[in-house]
Amino acid sequence: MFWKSFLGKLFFKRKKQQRLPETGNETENNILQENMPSPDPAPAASANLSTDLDANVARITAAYGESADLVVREMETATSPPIKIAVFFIDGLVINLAVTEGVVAPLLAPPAALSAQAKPHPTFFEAANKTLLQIGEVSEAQTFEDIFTGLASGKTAVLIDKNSRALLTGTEGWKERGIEEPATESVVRGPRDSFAERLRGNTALLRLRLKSPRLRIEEFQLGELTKTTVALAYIQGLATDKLLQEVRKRLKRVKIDGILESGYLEEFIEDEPLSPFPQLLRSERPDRVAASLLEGKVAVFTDGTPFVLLVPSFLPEFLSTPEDYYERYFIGSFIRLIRYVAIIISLVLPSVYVAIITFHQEMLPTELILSIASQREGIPFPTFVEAFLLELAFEILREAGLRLPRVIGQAVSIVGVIIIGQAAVQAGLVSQFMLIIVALTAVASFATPVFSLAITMRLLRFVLLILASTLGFFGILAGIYTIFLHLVSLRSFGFPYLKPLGPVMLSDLKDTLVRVPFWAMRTRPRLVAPRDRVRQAEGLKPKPPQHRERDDAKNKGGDGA
Amino acid sequence: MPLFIPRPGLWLRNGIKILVRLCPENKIKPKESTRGTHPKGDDRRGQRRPVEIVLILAFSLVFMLLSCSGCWDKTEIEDLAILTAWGVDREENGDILASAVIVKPFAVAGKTGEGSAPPERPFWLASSSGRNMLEAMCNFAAFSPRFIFCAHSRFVIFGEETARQGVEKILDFFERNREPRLTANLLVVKDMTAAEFLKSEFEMVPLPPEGGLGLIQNATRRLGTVVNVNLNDFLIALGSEGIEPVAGCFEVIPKRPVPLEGELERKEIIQSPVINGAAAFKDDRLVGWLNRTETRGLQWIRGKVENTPLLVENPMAPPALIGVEVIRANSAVTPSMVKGKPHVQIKIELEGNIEDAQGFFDPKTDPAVLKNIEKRMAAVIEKESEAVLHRCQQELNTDIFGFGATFHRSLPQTWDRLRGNWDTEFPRLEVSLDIKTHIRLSGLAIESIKKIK
Amino acid sequence: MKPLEGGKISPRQLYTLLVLSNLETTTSILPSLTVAIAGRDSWLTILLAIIAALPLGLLAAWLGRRFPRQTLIQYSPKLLGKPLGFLVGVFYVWFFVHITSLVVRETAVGFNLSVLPQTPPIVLIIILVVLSATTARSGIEVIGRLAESSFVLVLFSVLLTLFLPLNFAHFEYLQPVLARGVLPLLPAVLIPLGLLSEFVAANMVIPYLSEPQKAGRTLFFTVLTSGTVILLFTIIIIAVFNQTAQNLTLPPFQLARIISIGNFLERIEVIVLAVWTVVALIKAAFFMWIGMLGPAQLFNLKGYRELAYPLGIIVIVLAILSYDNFAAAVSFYTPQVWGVYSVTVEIGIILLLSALALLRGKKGNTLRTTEN
Repeated sequence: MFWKSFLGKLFFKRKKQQRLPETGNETENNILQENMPSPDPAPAASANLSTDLDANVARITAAYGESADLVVREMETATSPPIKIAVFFIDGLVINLAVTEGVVAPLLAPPAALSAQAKPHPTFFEAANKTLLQIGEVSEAQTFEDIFTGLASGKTAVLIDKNSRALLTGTEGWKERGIEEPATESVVRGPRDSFAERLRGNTALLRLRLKSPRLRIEEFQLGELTKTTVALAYIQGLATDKLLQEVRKRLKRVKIDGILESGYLEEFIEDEPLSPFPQLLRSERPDRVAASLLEGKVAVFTDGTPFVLLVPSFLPEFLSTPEDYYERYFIGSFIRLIRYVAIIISLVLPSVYVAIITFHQEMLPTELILSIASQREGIPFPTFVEAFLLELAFEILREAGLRLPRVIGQAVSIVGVIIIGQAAVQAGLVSQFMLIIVALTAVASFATPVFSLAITMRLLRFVLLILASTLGFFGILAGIYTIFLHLVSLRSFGFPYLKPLGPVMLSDLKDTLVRVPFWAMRTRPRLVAPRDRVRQAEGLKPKPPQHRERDDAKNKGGDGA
Repeated sequence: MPLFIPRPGLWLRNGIKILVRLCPENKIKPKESTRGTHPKGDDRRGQRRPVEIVLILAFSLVFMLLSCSGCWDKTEIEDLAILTAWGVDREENGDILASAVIVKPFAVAGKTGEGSAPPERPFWLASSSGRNMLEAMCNFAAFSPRFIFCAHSRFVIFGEETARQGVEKILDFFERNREPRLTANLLVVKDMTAAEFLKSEFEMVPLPPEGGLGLIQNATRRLGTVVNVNLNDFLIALGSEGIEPVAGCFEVIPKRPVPLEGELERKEIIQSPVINGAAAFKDDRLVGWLNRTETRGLQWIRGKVENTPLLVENPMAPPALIGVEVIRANSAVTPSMVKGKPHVQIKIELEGNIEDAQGFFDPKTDPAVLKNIEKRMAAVIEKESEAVLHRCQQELNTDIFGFGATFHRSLPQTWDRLRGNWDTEFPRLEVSLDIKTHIRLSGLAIESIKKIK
Repeated sequence: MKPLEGGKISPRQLYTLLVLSNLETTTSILPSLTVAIAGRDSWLTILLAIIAALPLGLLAAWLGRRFPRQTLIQYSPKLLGKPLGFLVGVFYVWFFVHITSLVVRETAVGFNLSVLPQTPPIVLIIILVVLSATTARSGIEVIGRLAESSFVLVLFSVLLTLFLPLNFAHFEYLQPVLARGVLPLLPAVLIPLGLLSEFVAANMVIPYLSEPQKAGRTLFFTVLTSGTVILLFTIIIIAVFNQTAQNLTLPPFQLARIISIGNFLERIEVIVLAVWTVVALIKAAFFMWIGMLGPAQLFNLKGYRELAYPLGIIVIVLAILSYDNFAAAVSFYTPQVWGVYSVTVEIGIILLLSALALLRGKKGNTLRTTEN
């Protein structure tokens, strides 16, 4: 037994390394994936089940060691000759009732007609599959690998003696977080649901929004130990084949022990690992993902996290929110412009302040320079150090407030902002102006809808601060130029990251700095192949009727208006 | 020393490269998969690496080191002595005495504070001398603990004596140096040195430059008997042919001490400036003062009157006065040669509203009365213009109107003949005035209070 | 064999690139150069230069379109024979490297004159060169995008500096027109012409255009746009400063310094500084790209990106050596020296090659070669 399990483990490990690239698409596939490229067939034969039930059971139990949550039920049918059956499931991942009534009960007591002619193997196996099991989803498994994966995703495995196949029945059911309001992308107007941790529920939310069968969902399994299911969602015909192949290629390249969040994947599939900028947009809102798919993007779902990666992503999208589209376009455009202003402020304001105060004092109005100078009177640090320390303090405060429970977090911000800030000014450590600047910057950085971009800006803000304190505006300009140069040469899955501002695409500017009304957005962005670009009928701009309809019934038909 | 700069960048870049290579996870290069994904599908980016990030990191590191050492042009704002007005005089030996109004920021701010400290004068008056402006300015360093910073100077003020001796040698500094602005106002102080003048204080505003600026703007907008000249205007007039510069004029009217009532602990202002008239230059020398009427005449001719009160006799009740507020005035100067002699025609057009009427005044009974008033307005303007023309042509012989320049612009060939002897031609220049006045509104009332004649 | 440069650039990107390149000199020294010679009539010299440059732009585009797959460096040996063609190529490349060094030097000096008097110019020069070399090695595609994306913002800032000082402008200062006749103006035409004719840089870019048939239109509008901006600058500088403009080293900067609207919208010369820096970096990057690709094609190298930093060092040295003090600069930027030099290299090469192409009837291969 020991020997067996040892061998099995050894075997298991080696096999896994060989098999990994081919995994995925082995589990149940969506019925709609007819034109998906089929994965490489024929896994290693050695991983197959044997016809000996005892050996199989032994191997499975050995693989799980003494894991307490693995339930093994070995039983025999009430037929003659009895057929040995083993049922495996993992406690907590299945609905017990379904296992009892849908799997165990029908197998134990097959109908008389069947039991009369019951013979072990293939016939009984087929019968179990076709007639006995009272479970909606049943699939066949050939390898241990499939069984392990199935068990871990809440399926019940049925092994029948003399059969080198197993049946995986869909008995999944576990305690799951319900659909809640999105925590990171809240809106005033718009749907309130957000993705949760489980993949299937997430794809269901998407399917509810995009009911066309052209919505395709492909699944992969990544992570040697976690076996995380990663799903690609796209709309067939809108997402170009080139993009899809590229996404598949990049995802399949990932060989890692575990994937616990889409952030793991992000770092493997992004284009420029050395860039401080987030290159993939993540969202936990089904509506946003659906909208992106309609523009020809691919969504990468990762099991275990509500955050879905949208591929490819462009910088201007990091500054848009779903609400821009739900509010009327004037408001949407205005808010979006405000965000652009805010992100610029959050990037450059402290450095511009330092540059002006230490290099270009002539650029301030006289009254302002006097008032700043009077506040700086007696402050022991140079402006740059003052700014740097205060920015640092703010970052610490922000981080402290973020990680603590919400109630204590508020206390932290009150202590930090009111007490420390006030005391620092009164003690003559920092000037009020600097406090205003830092606070304004902080507020502006909170106006960036995507957290990862806001963090990038904070990081770059320090760099610009140093540049500004050395060479004034020249330093800031050199820094901004460098950032800009970097952005212009960045790509997201082969598309320019700054699109449509990078190479200016006039037709795509309609949804960048401002959002034009929907009836003016006739075409999809330039991501989509030209033939699929038109997204709505022509002439949808609302037109009031030429002649006013009169309220009174008398005039109805009177003058033929 | 700066030659060392690129190196840390190189080290850092190589260092990061090595680090990236060392990490086993990074043996897979995600970038390779970039290839072929561009719509046009080629590996044009094959050789590019993200140097920018490394670059910016390297720069910021180097700069952090540099900025700690307090480099080059960096000056903390509290180390500056913010100078808001220059006063320039010449000493007897020909040296320049530069006086400066330097604001004390702490004292300015102090006025909003708790007032525990005794009230302090918010500015410091300092003078320093040198053989030219540059030396004078640098000599401040000998006794000013803070760095003289004159980008915020709003005024260049000359004492009368200095202006009479010529200002060109002083002005070059203001044109060349990067700190002073060409928008600073240029004024001359009557009967006084600039250093003495700067001691004066203004009512209502604590800082002299603010007060001076207020005076100029106020007087230009409401009174019209001053000229608002900045350095740029002055330099253009100085450097062009056929026009002579003018400058604003400050004078100080000593106040008699009066016991103050209703004010708490407010120090009485003894010396407060008044803005009035203009200083006429010939070349770079002050040659004479224009009084209020003459200045307004000058402004009529130059078409620069914004708002001004114009008083004429009430035609319906002769000794009483009608006050017309001029709201718009334009002028056009047309040069010509009449019988071989230079001649300019000045067309002045203006609009005004009646804002003050005394004695019997009722335009409804006699519609011609407005025409009459308009005529009288024209007469006043003509009188004022002729006064300044006479003054400049006959007494001062300086073409502050720029008549020569109009010849130069419109009749360049004629100007070629005139240019050499413009000094003798200018006094003989014939000027004809064509004044059109127009009354638009009569305020919120039509007739005067007094109805019966 | 892989092509040296695999990037593509759209006509619009080329247009913005060339206009921004012209703006660099426009916003720094050009107005003072022409005003110093032609006085208040210098706007006429610019008008003349535009008129002269328009057909030349079309000619350059025609020449480039005749050899649609080749750069000037590649087709000049075909037209002139190997040694002469090589020499022309060397001159062409040298000219752009030289301009790069001048651009860098001007910008550094501009900052020295305006806001950073104490900072050693070499520091500024090195930073500018490192940044532009880094840009240049990213290829023409990135340079084009950079220009395209910053174009609107730069143009807007330029127009702001042009129109905000209007309340100080006296357009009567432009009179008398042609008081001294046309003749004294003619030498001064060379300077704006030399600047406008920098469009010959396009002859290195035309093979990489995504729509080469639009080359002529692109160059035409380039000349028109940058000519108009130069014209406006010159007119407004004269209208604000009159004759004293001759005396100013950096008229556009002074123009921005004089802006004062109400009492709040003033002291915004930082706009000019920003325009200087961005535009100088883009121009230097573009011309350094020529300075890298040119030699790579002249000597049949396998790649050109490796040349970026070595070329950068050359540019730094040239920038330091280009002139010693302002007097040398003043005597260098005269029509007799700078004007003749730039016009000869730029227009001379184009005229020579076009004439030869026409006479000898040579044409480039219009077919898409396998290598591309």
